[in-house]
Amino acid sequence: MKESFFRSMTWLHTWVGLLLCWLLFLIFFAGTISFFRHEISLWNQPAVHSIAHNKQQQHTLIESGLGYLREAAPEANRWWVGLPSERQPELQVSHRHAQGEGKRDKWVDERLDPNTLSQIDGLVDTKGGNFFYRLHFDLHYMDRKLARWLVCFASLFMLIALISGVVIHKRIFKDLFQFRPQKGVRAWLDAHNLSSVLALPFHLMITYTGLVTLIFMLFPNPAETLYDDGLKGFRADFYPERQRIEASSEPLKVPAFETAFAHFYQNWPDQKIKRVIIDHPSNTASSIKIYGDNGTLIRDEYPFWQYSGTTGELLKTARLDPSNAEMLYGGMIAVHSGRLAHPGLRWLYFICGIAGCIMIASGCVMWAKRISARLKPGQTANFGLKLVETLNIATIMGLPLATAGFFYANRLLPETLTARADKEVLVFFIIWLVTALISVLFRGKRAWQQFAYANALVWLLLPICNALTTDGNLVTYIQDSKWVLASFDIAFLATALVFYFQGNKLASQAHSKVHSKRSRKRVVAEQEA
Amino acid sequence: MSQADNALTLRYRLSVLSRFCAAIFGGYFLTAHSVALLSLFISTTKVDAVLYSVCVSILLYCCVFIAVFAVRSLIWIWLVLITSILGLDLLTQYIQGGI
Repeated sequence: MKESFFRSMTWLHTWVGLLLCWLLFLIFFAGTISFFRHEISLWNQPAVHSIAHNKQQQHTLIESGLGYLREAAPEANRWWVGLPSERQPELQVSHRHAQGEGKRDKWVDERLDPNTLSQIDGLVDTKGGNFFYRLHFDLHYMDRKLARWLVCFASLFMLIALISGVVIHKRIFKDLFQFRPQKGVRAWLDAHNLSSVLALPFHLMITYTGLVTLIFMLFPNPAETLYDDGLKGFRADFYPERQRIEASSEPLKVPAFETAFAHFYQNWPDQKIKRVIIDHPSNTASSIKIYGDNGTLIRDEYPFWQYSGTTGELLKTARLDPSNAEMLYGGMIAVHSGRLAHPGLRWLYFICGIAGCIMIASGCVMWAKRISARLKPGQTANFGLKLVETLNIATIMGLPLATAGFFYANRLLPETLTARADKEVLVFFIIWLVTALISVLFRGKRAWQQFAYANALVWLLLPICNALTTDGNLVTYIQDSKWVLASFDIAFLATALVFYFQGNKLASQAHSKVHSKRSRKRVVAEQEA
Repeated sequence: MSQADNALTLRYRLSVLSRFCAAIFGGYFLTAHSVALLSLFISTTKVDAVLYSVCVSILLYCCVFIAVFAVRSLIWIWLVLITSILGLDLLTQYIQGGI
């Protein structure tokens, strides 16, 4: 019984792992990059690079933000003031306008320099890190709901593969210290084990909590059982701040915004504010919503206060004192998104994410190697094996290449291009498609090697492209202690280096007459991004 | 000989498909009905009961999924899945006063 359980788990691990591994690689890859979502948005927006760290008090910032909106959009149905943070230096001021029945309201976003409170010139239209963030769970060119179900399904398979992987791992500690780089498929297995086992707690945590982020789509049943109107009723209870406030036809003559803020500052003087939203600032339905900042707390939803804009009295609060269940649920989502992480922890998240990519990639490659090793001399690869080999190259080599392309597009596309942000994304997908098409024709070791060199070249030239198209470069970043921007250049160069070594490794193997099953462990180390 | 082989492969393939269906769909509905029932037994506020139930749902799903692959008899698996889903559903309705 024990032996058959072991065997059924081995079988399960292999097949569950293979079926969705390329989708999983995409999810892991995009998720890993998304840990630096705001940093990428910063990199993609050179006009923001020179903004000094905010030195203003938060009430000054809120006042000036609201003042700006009062001038710019008195008739908007929503004002939004997002305060600068460690990761986002600018003050965000946005307003929303109703577009009539059945149409989505239109947002207009502006950004101010928090120190001078003047508008930032030269902003470009870009999705920044949000592209990868959305790609992580909404995929792209696809219905959102369908995409999320697919992502859920893949994550479930991932979790099953992880658990069955632990079960089949008889000697978890011995394998942890074992790496045999010159032993063909064994080397791949070792790379797979090493990347899996070292970061296993992270993989389990990130997959489980990832599923929790989409849990109400996956399992709406408890809410449907307890609430007569199902999820809608639950949401009304759990997210009081998301209740829609209907506009009134009566104009607001004397706004009581100042009374409201005075009450807030007096009662919660030390509360750091994340954002302030005012709904219907121009009529009597007006209400002020204040969201507190969670900082490094393991919490997802922000504490919330809602004031009346007509009288200035406190109408409701939420999550000031969360229950244990809210802490559990919110905590899981918080550790998944990593918003709580300071730079050190964020890098750890990133490295563990890369380990996840390596785990998935080495698993895919190992499968193909094992099948091709089983082929008899003279036997040609069947369709399944060809498909796996093509998908392997297309995903593992194509995604980093496409990511580099996305960064180039951000710097090189003309600023006046219409729908520029979408064009950047288009470049990403075109490069990925071209890689996939090439890998249909060439799947051998040579293709891996040339893609590795291509990756090395584009990542190496990226800091140079950045230096030529913006005011800064690696030297000035270090001189001015702009560590975020400096680490971008260093990370680009490091990625190039890894790809270069990988290409060399593959080249030396191609020249030697050793049988093609020799180690290519470097392939797995390449999905730095 | 080759025909017998083909028949065996087809039968084997169908059994694998059936097992995957049992794990994915059977596991899903079993979990969904279990957490629905569980939420009725957690005596806190409604929001908290929902949150606790959904937080354990994934764990439950994984256990069912793996059990489906660990148990040998396919008929037994389907039998247990279907009866327990029906049983849970009836029990939930009974508690809610639907029956």
